[in-house]
Amino acid sequence: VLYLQVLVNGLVLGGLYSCIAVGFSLVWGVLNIINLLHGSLIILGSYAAFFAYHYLHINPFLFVPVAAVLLFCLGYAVQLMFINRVMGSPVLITLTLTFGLNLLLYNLMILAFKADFRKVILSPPLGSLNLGGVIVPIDRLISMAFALALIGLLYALLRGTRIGRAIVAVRMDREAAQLMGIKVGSIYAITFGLGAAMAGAAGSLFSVMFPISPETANALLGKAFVICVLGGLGSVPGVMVGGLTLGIIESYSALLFGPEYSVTVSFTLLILLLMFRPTGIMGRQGFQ
Amino acid sequence: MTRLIALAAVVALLALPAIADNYVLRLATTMLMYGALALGWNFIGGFAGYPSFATAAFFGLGAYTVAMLIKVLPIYATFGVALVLGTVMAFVVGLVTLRISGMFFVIFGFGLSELMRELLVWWEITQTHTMGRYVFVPFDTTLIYEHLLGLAVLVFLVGWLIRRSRLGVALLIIGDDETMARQAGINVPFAKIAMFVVSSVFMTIVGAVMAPRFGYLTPNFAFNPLISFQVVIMALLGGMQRLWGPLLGVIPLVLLSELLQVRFPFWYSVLLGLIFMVIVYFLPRGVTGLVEDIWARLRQPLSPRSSTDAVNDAWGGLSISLQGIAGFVESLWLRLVRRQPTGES
Repeated sequence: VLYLQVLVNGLVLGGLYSCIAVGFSLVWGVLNIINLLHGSLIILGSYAAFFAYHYLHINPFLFVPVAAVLLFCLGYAVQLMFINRVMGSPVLITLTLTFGLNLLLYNLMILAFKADFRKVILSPPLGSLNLGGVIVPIDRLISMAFALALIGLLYALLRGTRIGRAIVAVRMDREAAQLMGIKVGSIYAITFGLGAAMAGAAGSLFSVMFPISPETANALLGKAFVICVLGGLGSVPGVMVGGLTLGIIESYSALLFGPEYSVTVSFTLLILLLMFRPTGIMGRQGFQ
Repeated sequence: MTRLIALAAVVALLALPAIADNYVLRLATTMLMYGALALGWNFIGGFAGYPSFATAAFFGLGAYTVAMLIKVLPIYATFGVALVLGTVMAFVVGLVTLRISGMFFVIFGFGLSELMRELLVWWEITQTHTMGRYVFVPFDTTLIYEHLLGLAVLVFLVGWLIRRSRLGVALLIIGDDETMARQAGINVPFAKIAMFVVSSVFMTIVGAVMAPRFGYLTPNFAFNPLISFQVVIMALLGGMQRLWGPLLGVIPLVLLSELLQVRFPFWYSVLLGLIFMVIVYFLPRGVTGLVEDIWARLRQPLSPRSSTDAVNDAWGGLSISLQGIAGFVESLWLRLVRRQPTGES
């Protein structure tokens, strides 16, 4: 039962991890940019949810769409104003830009919110479910359901809508897409906005499960790295596999080595994977 | 002529400890540290175009080797150990570059620094039950300064020799097109690994020499990813086309960050982010690139049409400021919002 409990914990955690990484993977896959802002965007979403709950008493789960919309607008503006200008530049340039933007956002958050940890404490607490000896906290279960629903929504959006098809077309061949009349610049902005929206939504879910602080941003960014490399870059199912795998590995390693070393384990995994299987579990694909 | 200037600069720097006060000497030490790191980084990032963010991993490795062994070994022996460890790790990283490149190599560099930091934290907590180490040795600022100066000169000379050698030409071709390099009969694995080992060993030794300067080290400080980024931004600002290019970025950025840290301690990191953005937008090819562009423009026959065609970002920024503030705001608006370089070409 202990192992089953750990597995369930891992799956629940993994659902949230997938949601954290899917926006990062989308931006990397389509824009070919490593978005170092991603961790800070997640935390920004968490703070929005925290303040909404604290002052306006809005349930964080109901706040998810609001956070997504807010962060979408922010991401859209950032891409349009700052990042579009360096699209197609060498890696060093785009990376330095997102690092600079992240320094800005991260330190502004520290100045605005202070570095101490806060947490959304739901009242009344939702309690937990007992499924034949396996205990699942209900708030985590709802978070996981929300995370999976959001990923499904993104997948459907990419597969089924005109905008989604345009994003995929730009990913496949920018110039051909341009010739077909797609405004590449605004598609980039929408893609980045979607990535930020997923980050914001993941952030509001995160605030229910974990204490938040601007300091958490870097750890979350590291997790997004690991998940993208683990699952294989550039597809929604890949991110799902990567996120769930990382969740399970982290909860088993917490059992074996103690919870404080789960980060060490995930980075060891990252380096070993990059050395021996850089294409990840699912192989390298593209968003389709 | 250039050699004479270089020689004069080195002599002047040698004489600095005798005339300057302690504050200036410390500032000059920081400059030399970043100078040596940026010159070393340029072997990887500039010559062969590999976006390496593993600088902090090597720097921290050197610093922490000294910090951990200083109680049991004489200081030069600890430098020797750092040298060996740095070489081994550089060899392994070099092997990795044979398999991955581009974005994945960027992630690898970050991941390596983070992993080293995490492993060190784990080791310190479980084995020694401490977090952070003091490095107290009779190794004062002047001595550190002289060692770093020697290192910087050595890196420069090695870079100069590599540039003139077959290996240097091979690296340039690899940076251009790796498949072509392989077709041309260049031993690509050897060239890449050699480049990594040379470059990273210098970074490790710089870290080792700087350890007594810091006095107190924690894993978070020694393996700070900001070190990697600052080295990259300095090389970017200076320009990577020339061997001495990165030095032109080191001097202004060290001075600027010193000034900002003193004046606006709380806003320092925010302002640093702004500086990164300004450099990316207005000087994407660095100071040497800017000088080259201006030179090319001056040599062009003056005709209004052709000169507007040749406007590049940096020069465009300068010419904007000639139109007054209104013109500046207007064109900034155009450049930020309306112009989308991806939508037109």
